[in-house]
Amino acid sequence: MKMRMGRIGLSEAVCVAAIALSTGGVFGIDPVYAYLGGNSTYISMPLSIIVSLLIMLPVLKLMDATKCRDISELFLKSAGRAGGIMLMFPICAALLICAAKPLMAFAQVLHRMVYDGVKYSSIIVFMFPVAVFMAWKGLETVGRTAKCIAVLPLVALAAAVMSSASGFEIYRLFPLVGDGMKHFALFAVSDTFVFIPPIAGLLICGEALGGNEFIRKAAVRSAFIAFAVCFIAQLAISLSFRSGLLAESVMPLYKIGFLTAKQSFVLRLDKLFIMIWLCGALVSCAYCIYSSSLFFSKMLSQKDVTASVAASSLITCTLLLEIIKVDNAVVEKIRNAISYYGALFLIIPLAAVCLLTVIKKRAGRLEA
Amino acid sequence: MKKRIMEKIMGLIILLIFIVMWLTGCLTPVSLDAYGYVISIGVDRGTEKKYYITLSLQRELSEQGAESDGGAAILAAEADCLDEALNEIEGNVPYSLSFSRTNYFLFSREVAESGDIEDFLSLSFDSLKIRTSAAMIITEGSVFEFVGGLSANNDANIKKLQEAVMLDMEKNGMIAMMSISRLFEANKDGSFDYCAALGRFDESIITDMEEKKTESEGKNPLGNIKLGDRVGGLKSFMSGAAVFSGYRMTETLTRDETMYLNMACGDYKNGTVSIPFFQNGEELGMVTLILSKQHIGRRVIINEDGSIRAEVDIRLAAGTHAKPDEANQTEMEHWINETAVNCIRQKLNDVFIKCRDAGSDAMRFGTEAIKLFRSDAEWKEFDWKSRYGSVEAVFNVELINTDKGTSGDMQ
Amino acid sequence: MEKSKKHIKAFFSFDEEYKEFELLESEHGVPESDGGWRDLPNNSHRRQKHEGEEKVPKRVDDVYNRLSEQFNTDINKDVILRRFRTGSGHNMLVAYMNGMADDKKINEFVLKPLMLYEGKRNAPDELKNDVIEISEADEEKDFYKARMAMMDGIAVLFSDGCKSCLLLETHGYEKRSVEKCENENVVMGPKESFNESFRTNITLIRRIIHTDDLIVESRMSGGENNTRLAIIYRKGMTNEALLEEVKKRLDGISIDVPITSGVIEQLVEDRGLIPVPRTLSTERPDRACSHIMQGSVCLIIEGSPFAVIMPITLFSLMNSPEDVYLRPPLGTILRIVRYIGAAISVLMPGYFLALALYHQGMLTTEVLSTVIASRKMVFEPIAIEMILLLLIFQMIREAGLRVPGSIGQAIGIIGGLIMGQAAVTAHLASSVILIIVAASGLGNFCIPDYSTQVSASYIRMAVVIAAWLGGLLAITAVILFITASLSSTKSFGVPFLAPFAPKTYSKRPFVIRGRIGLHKRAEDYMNTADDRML
Repeated sequence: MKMRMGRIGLSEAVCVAAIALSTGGVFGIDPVYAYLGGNSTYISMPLSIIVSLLIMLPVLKLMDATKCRDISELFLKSAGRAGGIMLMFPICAALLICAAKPLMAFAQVLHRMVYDGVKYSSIIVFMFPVAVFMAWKGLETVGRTAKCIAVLPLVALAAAVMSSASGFEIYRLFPLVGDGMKHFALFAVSDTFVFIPPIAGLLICGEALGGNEFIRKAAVRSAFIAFAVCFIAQLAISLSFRSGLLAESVMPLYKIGFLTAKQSFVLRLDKLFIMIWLCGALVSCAYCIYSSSLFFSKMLSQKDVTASVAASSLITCTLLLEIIKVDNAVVEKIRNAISYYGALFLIIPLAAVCLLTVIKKRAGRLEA
Repeated sequence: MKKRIMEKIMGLIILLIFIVMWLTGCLTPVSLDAYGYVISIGVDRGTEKKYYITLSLQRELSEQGAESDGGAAILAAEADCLDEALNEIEGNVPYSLSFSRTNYFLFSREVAESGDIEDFLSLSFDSLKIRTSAAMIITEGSVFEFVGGLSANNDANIKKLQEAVMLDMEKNGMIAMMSISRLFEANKDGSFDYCAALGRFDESIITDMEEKKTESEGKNPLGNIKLGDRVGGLKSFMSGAAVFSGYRMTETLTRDETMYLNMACGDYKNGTVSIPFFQNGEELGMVTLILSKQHIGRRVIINEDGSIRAEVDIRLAAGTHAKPDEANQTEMEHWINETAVNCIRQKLNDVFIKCRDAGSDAMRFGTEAIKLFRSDAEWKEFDWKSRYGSVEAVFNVELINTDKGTSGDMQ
Repeated sequence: MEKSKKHIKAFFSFDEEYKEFELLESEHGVPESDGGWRDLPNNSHRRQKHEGEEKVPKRVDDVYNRLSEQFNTDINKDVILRRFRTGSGHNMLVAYMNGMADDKKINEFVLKPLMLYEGKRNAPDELKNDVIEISEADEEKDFYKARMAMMDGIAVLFSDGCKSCLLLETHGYEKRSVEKCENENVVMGPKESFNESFRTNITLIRRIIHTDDLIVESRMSGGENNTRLAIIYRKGMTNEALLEEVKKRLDGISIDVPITSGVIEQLVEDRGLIPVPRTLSTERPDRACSHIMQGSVCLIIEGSPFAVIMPITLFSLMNSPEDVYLRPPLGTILRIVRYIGAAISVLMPGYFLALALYHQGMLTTEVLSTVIASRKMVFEPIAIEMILLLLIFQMIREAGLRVPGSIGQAIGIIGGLIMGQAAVTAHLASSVILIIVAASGLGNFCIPDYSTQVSASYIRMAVVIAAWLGGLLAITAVILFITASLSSTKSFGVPFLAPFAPKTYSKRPFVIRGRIGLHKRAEDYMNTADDRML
């Protein structure tokens, strides 16, 4: 079998999942949607990470109870082959969307603000093959590369935030919780669409992590790291821009250094920071593509993951090239639908699997 | 055999990727010596067209780095917008213009008061790669002269010169320096009004270069300088702040007034004020107080009847400098707690009223008012801009005499 | 159509077993360090084919005829086949290579005693015990092995009527003495280096390692040339799986070229996308011993003044022997400077080029003005100028290596100072780019291992070309690609970036120099016996 999983340690798993969660949270959300009801993202988003973790932990517990090594076994045991495959598709699709969305944001920023007169496709040609290469080489490569680069995006974020701190104003946070608790709660749930897939990825690659105990540790630790990173990043963004300006901006984190009129060398390094963050986005993309491919391969009992990786890469590339077309009405509708209702498409299959597992276990029809 | 086939296929794929990257047209590299770097963009009212646009470029040093090299190259043309001006200017210069180093936007008073700033700034900052961290300067008189005045000494590094001029004033709180992004924010949001630095050009100032010229020509080093002339430095200088209401400039403040404005906004760090000192009813002279910020607290109270009151608590450390010899300590203490405090309070109030009457929330009380609302919709409904004219401000000033270390009472 | 289907299938290799060598972890719950994939044919049968097939002829005349035929003695005058009779009239023959064997030893301790021997016992083992005065004498029944031994400088004694022969240790070829290191100089530490003599190199190792578990397993390399080599390891410490894999890869050698350390490295190491070395070549005995003590396997090859060590990691390549001889803070500073130098060497030219071509806003106005001024009359585009200067730097470096003695040093001065200055004055290059290239070159020399230096040069060129194509975006892509390649690279089953990625149990720092003796499980990614016991 050529599933290219290998074995990765706890620190690598934490790094890759934390990078995927943080990248999704900071760069993967749709700004038009996220800042619609005022500016409470710095609270709702970290909360959303916790909600995602709380959604996935029962799944992990059920994996423990049924002695499943990974989530694909759980799906197969609970819903059978046909049912399992049907329930698998939303998760695979979500993983691929999570792979594409941050790269889309980067491509837009690079196209608009960094490079002159360059097509989106030219930029994607430079970015995407690296992610495909990492996904192709397998989980070990993705995990170890994540470990190598994990510190860099953090340092870049810290440098960007600290150098821009003189432009922060507390009043931009007000009104607190945006347009009320209802919207705030809505965002906390709907944002789980970007956070559940990376955690699910850990469960998909469970065999490589060496046991459910390590999966749990990796999920919890990476969630808390991402909580801190998303909170700091979103807080910095919120302190820099009011919600009206945020809704129009593709990547507000890139522009937080544009507020202060003082000139300094560090403030001019925004292009370098964006490239460092792009490294994280590419690792996250590779991880999502690989996890999706692995899930698909395992559910369909394939013996080689490379074919799925190739197919998933093509799908992701198509998504990248199509989602970027902001003037396409159909694409716009799909993006809005994903932003509003995407989380449901993840929570429902997971809930169904959990329910089926519990029912079967109680009925004694579940083999260990 | 299988491995060799696979290696060949992998090699072909890598070559294909390489070729694809070349064929996608690369990412259009342009060498740095093919650009001219615009340091500032100036806008005057044009005679035949809407604007007269002045661009100040950093000139490169020669290889030997002679002091006489460098400085600013000035390009100017009339146009209805920046794009039109660029089309005109780029046609007869041997380089493309790059705005990645543009740090200042300068508008003449005439353009600022007419509200045409909004029209001019509707250009695409992203496509021109202009950073919205560029600061705005409003000039009394012509921008063209002001820019020329900044380069009068032919300093090699024009960018550093401009920064130094601004930063020096900003340190003492005598100018307001805000980026263009704050202007957009103010107008999008409506919670405050923008405040730009105010510049002035004075033809009568005799610069260092002019002094050196007379000296080098063998004339009397003082040349035509007479007693009372303003000598040294540049012909262009910073002279305060220009306050806005929306995109339109409505009032100017002197340097002193700007200092009080910064104080009320909470941006003040340190500076000096000179206040007459009275002892036993007799004026003994001017005393200079060296002030530094200890605490500035601001809040807005919206009463039930709809009236709005802004309160600013200012606590400053005050050290005396150049006080009269006859002044005794007790009197000095009393003077600080009473006279100086009242003087500062009065000045603050004067500046507030000046801004309010000009329709400008330059003191940014709106940013405190927004904290009282629970949602964005409520704040928008409140419409702060329309109610700002009825705001009353109360300034509670406390000076702590650092010479003695005793504190006065808050009023 | 069928052929292309076959090719596609071969490319994806569906359903095929994943042939990989795993250096398995023994600790519970810790992920295994997986091996690299290498599909080696087992060629040990080729080596064994010749062995055991040829028996030593009984008659000395037959021996003489066969040796004459096989060695072409009518043309090959080096081969000496000396027939003689003992004092009792028994026929014997001693065969050796002129120049490889010490003929004085043969005359004094083999021919003379035998010619004077009047006893009746003529069997080789009996002669060995009573007559021949040579320290090492082994009996051999295999004629092929006897012939191979002859080519190694051993004298072979045949006795009429015996089915075995005696191999007599009579090495006497000219060799270099133990000299100072040329390529791995240190200030504080031993200065000896390996030379081309097999025995001398092994002796140098034995002088440092005094443990009784040190094994020096001699064998032939394989291939047509069949050079003698030694596999050196610590029995009971070195992982047996690693040892077996090394032997298996050596068995797979079947080439015609002379086997040297450089050739062995290429033949046994794992293959990968980027040209970083996966074995360590060192001329220092102390460095080789340090690795052997930790559980590595060391190869000494006859005729090569380098020892080949495996497995290694990136951090082993970046460490210098001097780090250990200094106190921890000083060693740490040296290492940090080295890593910074390596990073500058690889990244600085590309980074500057990216800023100059795509991201001018990131450069300060002063730098912009200076660079523009320095490039005013330079005719070539900045990217070409950068590549050209990097190429010239490499040429000066190569020229300096080849040119002998004191002239070699002068090349550096001429090339660096005079040519550089002249190039700037003649507007062939700009001063800023020249400084960047020089700084990058200096940084390259900070890397202790020569192969890694060359690899870094290639990577630097790739980064420069990437910067030319796409600025910081392309540099990011290339750096990430290289990092991913390094992450997936393995050296004899050990991940190349261990112990950083994957993280291992050992808390021994790999950049900062820890205190000696503080970390017992120093190289636990090799899963030595020590680790298995803990």
